[in-house]
Amino acid sequence: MLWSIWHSVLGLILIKTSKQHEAPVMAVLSLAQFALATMILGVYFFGSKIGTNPFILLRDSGVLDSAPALHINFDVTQPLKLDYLSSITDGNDLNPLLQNYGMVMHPPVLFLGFASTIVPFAYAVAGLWKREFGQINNPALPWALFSAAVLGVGIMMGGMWAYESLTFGGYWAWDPVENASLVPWMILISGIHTALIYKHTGQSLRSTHLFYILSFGFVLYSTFLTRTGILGEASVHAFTGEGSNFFIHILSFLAIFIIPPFILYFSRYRDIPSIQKEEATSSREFWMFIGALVFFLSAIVIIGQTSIPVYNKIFGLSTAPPEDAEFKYNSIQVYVAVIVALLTAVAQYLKYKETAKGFFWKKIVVPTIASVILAAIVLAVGDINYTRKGPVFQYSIWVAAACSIYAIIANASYIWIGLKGKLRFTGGSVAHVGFGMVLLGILLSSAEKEILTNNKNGIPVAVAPGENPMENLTLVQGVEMDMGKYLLTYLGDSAHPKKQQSFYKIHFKSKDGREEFTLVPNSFVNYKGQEGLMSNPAARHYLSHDVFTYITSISNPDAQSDTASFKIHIIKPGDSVFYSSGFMVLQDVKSKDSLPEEIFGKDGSLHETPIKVFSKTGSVFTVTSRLAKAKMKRLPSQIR
Amino acid sequence: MQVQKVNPDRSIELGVKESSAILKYITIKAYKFPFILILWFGVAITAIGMFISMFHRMSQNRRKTDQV
Repeated sequence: MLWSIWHSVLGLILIKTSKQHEAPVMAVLSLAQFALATMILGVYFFGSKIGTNPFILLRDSGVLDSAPALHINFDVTQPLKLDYLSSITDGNDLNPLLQNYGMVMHPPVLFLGFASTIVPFAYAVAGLWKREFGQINNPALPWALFSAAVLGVGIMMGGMWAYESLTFGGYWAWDPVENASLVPWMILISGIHTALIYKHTGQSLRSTHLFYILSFGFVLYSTFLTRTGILGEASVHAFTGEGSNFFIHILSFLAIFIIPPFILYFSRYRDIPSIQKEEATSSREFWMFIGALVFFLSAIVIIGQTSIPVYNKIFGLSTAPPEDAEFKYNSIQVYVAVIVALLTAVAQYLKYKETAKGFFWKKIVVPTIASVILAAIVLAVGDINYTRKGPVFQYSIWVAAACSIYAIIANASYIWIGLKGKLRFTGGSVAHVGFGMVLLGILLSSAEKEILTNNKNGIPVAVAPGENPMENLTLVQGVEMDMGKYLLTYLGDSAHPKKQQSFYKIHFKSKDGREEFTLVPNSFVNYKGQEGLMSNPAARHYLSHDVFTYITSISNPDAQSDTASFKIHIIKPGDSVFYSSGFMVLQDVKSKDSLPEEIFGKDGSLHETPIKVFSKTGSVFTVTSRLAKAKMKRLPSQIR
Repeated sequence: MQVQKVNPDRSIELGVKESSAILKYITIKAYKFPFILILWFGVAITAIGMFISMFHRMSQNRRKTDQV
């Protein structure tokens, strides 16, 4: 529904702006609107249900049919009670992990990104359909840029939300759904670059068409992946499957929007104008095209790896996802990062068609030297030691980090060297600087991500299933614990007044005294009948790093209440009493006289009994218990 | 422990209570993410750059149609 709302908004703008392409472009958009509308129809055709109506009343949805308490005479064959609504309590809130402001922003932005990919798609189809191949390039380009910007921001908002609120241990987990939204974005970026090549040289119109079509195609494919439940266990985003009807429904949606454009594309492939001449290797478009192609292929590899559950379904296989799925992606994508960052840095300094050698070297020499120096400093000081996956991967990270720095510096300087700082033309360079920063940020933050809770204190840790005891630290209330460069104290907790949610105050103090802060992660305990914890992390943000913590386990709350009772021992001085973790010896019984009357009254008394405790752990200490008969409720600690 | 009675013969009645719940603890996991800000800023700058390009291309298109 959100998707079709965005389509409506985009459609209104298109009607205003698309001019001679309006008819075919709007035809494509309207067809998509029709297809989306069938998803929320909720009507039966010949016994099979088409779509799900989001406005259906609870009493019509079938959920209440088997609840006898809501029916007349507690008989489910009878109609519902007239006041059945009073038995349904209000305010059964969202899943606690979704109770976050990220949840409010991420889906609408992401869906605007998804929805807007249809515009370049519709232009590409319109171009193929009306044989106006090249003419769609210019009007489609701003749309493609808009879509790429919004989709990119939408995806990373999801990452930020995951980082800040969900306990995946990071912003990106190569989750199938994250991949499925990243892939259309990457293809769209490739499409933007080939579109620019066409605009300036007349080359690569065919690939532009292909990329625009595939980008929307993969948006639909990602819907298919998430909504049919085909991903099963592989994803946190695998929303409940809605049955086999829905499966066929969404598959036909996919087919309608993929097969006809491809038939058009291949049957008219020869008619799409292209230039036979090879690009010169000194031209900008040659390297831009290589970059676009690498980006596109990397997207295809990602979606190929993501679709393992789909192959299993189609071919009846049971290929398990790889053991270390994240590394499977990272080990390939780090090289893509190297190539793309390098091309991003260099390509802008080349001219379209052909570049004179002297021109290129003269302009690029300063940023190159600056980047080499800066990269050397970062690698030397940054101490990037990611050795877990072997030296090859570590060196790849170094190279990729250096290349991203090059991309940032070269593009930032191009704004002045090449464009003389004219804002209107700087879009590409600014975006490339940003992209270089994204790459660098990803590389540095993931390679240097540290688990601070290395359990070295030897206290056995009560861990949740699936947690590594070596990566968790148990804090006893009020006791300062040593954690790497920090000293931690669990100060206490407080409960939410209405929900079963607790907030835990943890004080962090760095040993060098430069950082001191309190984090308050919270946790839902046995929320809504679900056993266990649902934890929300807390983070402390610094310019150079974030410290991030969450609760993995707590002491059993039922054991908190003190139900033990006193056991009486009659002893004389010198006698000992055993307890579960040691013994204690009564040293003496001192009875005091001449007590101050203002405290004890006339016939008060005071006995003091020093008791020496020998605990099993080896510690020995003396406790003095007192028994008094006095006027005052509280006695001073010293009585002469 | 609690002294409950002191008898004249210097013996005492000592109450001893043991509670298993004296330890109130939590288990945590903590990470350090360095330079994460570069990523967020990078995303923002990329988007800004794309929007600049978008407006640039839009005005280009507009000028072209004006000429026709």
